Amino acid sequence: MRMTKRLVPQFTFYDRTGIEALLEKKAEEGWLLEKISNFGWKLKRIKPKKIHYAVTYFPKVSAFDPKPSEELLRFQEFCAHTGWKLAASTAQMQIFYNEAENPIPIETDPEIELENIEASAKKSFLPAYWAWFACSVLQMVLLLYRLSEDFIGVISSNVNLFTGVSWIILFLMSLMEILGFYSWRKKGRKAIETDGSFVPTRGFRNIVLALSGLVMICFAALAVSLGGKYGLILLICTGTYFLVLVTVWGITEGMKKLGFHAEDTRLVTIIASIVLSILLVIVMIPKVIEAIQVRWPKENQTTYTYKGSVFTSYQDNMPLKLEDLTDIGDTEYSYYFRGDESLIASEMTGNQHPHMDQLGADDLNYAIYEVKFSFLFRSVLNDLLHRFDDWYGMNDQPINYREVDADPWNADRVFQEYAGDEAENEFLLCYGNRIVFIRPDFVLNEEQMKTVAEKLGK
Amino acid sequence: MPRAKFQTLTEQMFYILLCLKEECYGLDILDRVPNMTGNRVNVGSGTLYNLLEQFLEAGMIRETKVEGRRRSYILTGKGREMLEKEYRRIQVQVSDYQRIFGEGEVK
Repeated sequence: MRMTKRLVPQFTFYDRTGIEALLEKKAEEGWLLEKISNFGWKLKRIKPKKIHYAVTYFPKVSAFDPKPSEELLRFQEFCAHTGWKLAASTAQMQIFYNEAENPIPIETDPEIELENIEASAKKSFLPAYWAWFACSVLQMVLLLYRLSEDFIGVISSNVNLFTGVSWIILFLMSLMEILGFYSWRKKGRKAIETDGSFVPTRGFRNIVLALSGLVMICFAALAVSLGGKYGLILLICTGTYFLVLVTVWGITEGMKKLGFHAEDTRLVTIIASIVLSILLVIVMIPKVIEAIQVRWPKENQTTYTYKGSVFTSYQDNMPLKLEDLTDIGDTEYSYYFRGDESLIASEMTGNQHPHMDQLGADDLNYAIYEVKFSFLFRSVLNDLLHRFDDWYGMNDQPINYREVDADPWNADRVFQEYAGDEAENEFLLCYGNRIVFIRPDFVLNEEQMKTVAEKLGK
Repeated sequence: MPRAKFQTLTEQMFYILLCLKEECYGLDILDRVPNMTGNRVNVGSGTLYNLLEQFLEAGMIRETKVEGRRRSYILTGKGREMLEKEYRRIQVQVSDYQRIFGEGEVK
């Protein structure tokens, strides 16, 4: 029979009503709270019984205190005098239980209780959520900027989708918790003023659990979609992230055990978090990935030397090659056809370039963009039509696109690039949910256009 | 906005200060208030701890003895003034009631 069990309850810090209700239910099921740590709540088996819990907040303590302060111990003695035993505590939150049938509550003045919750929240819960909020807003602004610059590129990457969704969820969670707290505080103050009552706290446990679950699902989907070696890289990155968390936790707990002052421990914890995070992002992860990639065979690519420099030649399977359009003779080419694909879109780039010793031979450049949901098509097309709005082409004329006859290309719509009023040899071809950007080195005749449609259209 | 601190006293504040007419350990107040009021008023341990801190800060009580974590307190002149002010406020309420309903007319 299991004598202990762990819970990761995801309660809002100030939700004393919800925490008390859950713990009282657990006591009736035969579980008593024993300890709270960074790894969840530990409960021990007891004989099922009705136990009263009281969650109180003691703002004078810090999560970095090396040991309970004299003031906290005196507070706990006061509580013990009325039968309240300390079950567990974390930072300012003190959780007591009482086995008496009708114990006198620890808090009998709602105004003082609200003041203590507010002071404790300002010390721990609120700064953390405001920091989350600020980071998520910054990330969302960056994401919006990237979307405005390269819409299809962003939505074609599962990594971008996952991080974007995660930051949006983090934004929503932090906003919900912050607004929830201030709304509860406002109601609480009003109730105290009108009838002196305490407004029960209301957390967002289910919503937080659902949103956390969504992040997990996104993460799993990302790992599956990346697959194989990239999935392994993701796993290593995640593992390294948890290693940082555990290291920071170890430093904090170690300093507390060695009796360092709370302020020193706090400062070192903050510095360690920042330094290790920077090391993680800038040094460790790229090195780990590099170390792994060195051992993987480079697919479809070789190297050649030209005038003492090393160049890469790709041999990817391009859907359209120059030789499909014209005679290339003996020219040696690099065939590059790579890109990214997400759950909602894909972006593939094709470049056929002659080797360096044969510069001057024709080359071929194109990109294939495809959306998996029709409603995204218009946004992608608009993005592509306006991506060179700030660019200038021949004779310093601004670049723009004009719709031209689509029939020769067997396409739904075709847009040709212009520099001012001068037509350029670059086209956007629409085939269903697919858009092809093509920039051949020479003007294509109708037969070649049909070949493009056959090879790159749907 | 909540009422201004100590402009008026809650029942719990009133009885805690009343207990401190004579020197008293903080913990003992937890038993004295229910005894004094026939169990009509109870003060929670957390509430008492916080109120003693606030009374001290406001100069309404002062510490007389510190024995480890045990501390005893006594009412100061300011605390006594606050109690008297509250007493007069309650008396005005009583006399207002009597003026309206007449003395002794309580259901």
